[in-house]
Amino acid sequence: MDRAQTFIKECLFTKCLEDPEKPINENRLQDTLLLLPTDGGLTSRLQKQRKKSKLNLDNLQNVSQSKSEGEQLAKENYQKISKNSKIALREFISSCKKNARKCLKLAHDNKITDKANLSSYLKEKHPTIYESLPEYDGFVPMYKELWLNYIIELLNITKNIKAFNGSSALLKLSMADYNGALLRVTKSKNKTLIGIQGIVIWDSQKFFVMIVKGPLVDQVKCIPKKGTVFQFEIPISDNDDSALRYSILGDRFKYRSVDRAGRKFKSRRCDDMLYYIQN
Amino acid sequence: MLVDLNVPWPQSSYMEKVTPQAINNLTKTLTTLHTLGYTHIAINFTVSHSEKFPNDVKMLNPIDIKKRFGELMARTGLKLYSRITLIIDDPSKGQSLSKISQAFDVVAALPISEKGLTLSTTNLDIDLLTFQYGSRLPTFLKHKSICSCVNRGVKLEIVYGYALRDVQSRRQFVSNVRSVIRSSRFRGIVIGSGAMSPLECRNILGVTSLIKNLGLPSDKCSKAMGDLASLVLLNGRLRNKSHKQTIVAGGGEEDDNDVVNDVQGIDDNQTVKLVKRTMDPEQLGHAAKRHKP
Repeated sequence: MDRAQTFIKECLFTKCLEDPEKPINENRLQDTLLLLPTDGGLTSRLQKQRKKSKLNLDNLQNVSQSKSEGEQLAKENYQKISKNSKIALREFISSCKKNARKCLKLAHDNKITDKANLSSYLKEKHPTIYESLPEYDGFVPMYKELWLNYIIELLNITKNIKAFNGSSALLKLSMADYNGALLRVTKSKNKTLIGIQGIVIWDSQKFFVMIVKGPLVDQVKCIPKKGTVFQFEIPISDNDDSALRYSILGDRFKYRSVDRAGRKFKSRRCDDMLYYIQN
Repeated sequence: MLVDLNVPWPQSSYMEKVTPQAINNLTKTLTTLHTLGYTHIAINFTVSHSEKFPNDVKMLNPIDIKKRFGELMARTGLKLYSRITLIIDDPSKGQSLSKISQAFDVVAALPISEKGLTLSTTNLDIDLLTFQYGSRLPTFLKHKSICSCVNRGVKLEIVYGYALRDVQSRRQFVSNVRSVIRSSRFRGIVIGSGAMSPLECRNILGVTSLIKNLGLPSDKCSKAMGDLASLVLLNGRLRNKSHKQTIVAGGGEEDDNDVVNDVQGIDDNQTVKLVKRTMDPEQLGHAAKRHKP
């Protein structure tokens, strides 16, 4: 039927190929189309950098220009870093939530009601889940050593509480940083949130991301600021139990900590805060 | 909570002396209001805007609730607040409100001229706008100016005490209330008693039936004595006890521990609240589980 093909096979392929039955050699294909792993252009970038950093006449003349270039590079890098960190944070929160849910399910299935038992069980059977669980105790020093010292120093609290200036303390607290603070939800439109207490690991624009100590598993919770009142306490001295108590009105606090620092707050009509005074 | 924002203080300027008899009468009024079911009452000190105010912040508030009515509050569980009403005639003679408002929980304005009304609806930092219901209103109330004022968060007050006095003031009361309700389109109205004596106090049903006859829907009437009036208290308390409504001194998990209900706990001079420590990082995260033994 196809005389031309037999002609090609017999006359042409026998002359230039080893095996005329298989004109395309599999091995040959693989050899040429093999993809090498790359390092994401790191080496070439480093080479470029090295070239730039070498001192010569050209470089010296371009010093001023390269400075602005460097700034731009830094800015780009910064954007990339902040973007990546956002993704990483989101992934961390979602993975923590997922794993905590899995853990609770496992505990329920195996009828474990003890935290120690559960952790030993997880260590044996599900090491990957155990590794990725958030640990509340790891964050306690962040509150005890970092945040408490920071806030006491910021408010300038001394033993003599009579000389304490309350209104300036309120002003400072409105600009303070709450990453690491121990907060408790006291009033909320969402009644199920009331009573949750935890250490803030991230103060985002509309949420406090908290780590909460549970009876079985420590959980990461995102508490919305809208319609919620948080309470925190600042101990005055180590000896006795006395402390200063303040509340954060979440409705008026919906800014990132970076934006809040230089902000001038304004009073608004408070019709949306009726939940705060109603029981 | 049932709120009465207007119980007159027997003093109309800083010069006058308060007689023990007047205080006695006021205490009787407060007790009557308590038996009628009111839980939060503001004592109203009315003074002219152009009067000379004392320089010392501590002298600004003549009411001194803690000393005079502390015993009454402890006995009945009543929450008392201080309120100042500034009679605004000529805006040019007035002085800045910021210092005055430090000493009182609620600040109200009572315009008696057209200029005063314009000033108090637009610029003044007040919680409450009230009128002299016993005499003619200073000017025809326009919906635009009144409602812009309500949108800003200032509430309008109706004082029903005038309806229980002589015929002349009763007649004026009806027409004034009608015009206030009309111009505000039922929005942001609170009702106070203005009771000079125990006989002028009415409970919520009596007030509702009176104001309902004058054209305010009855659900708005009960809101006017409950929710909206407590918002006035919240707004006023937050001005002094918080930094621009962000961080508030005090607070707590119990029901009577917010800034409005917590009359005694927050130190007035320092705006701090000292408590026993209740929060510990070792506690469990959720309240229901925390309280379990």
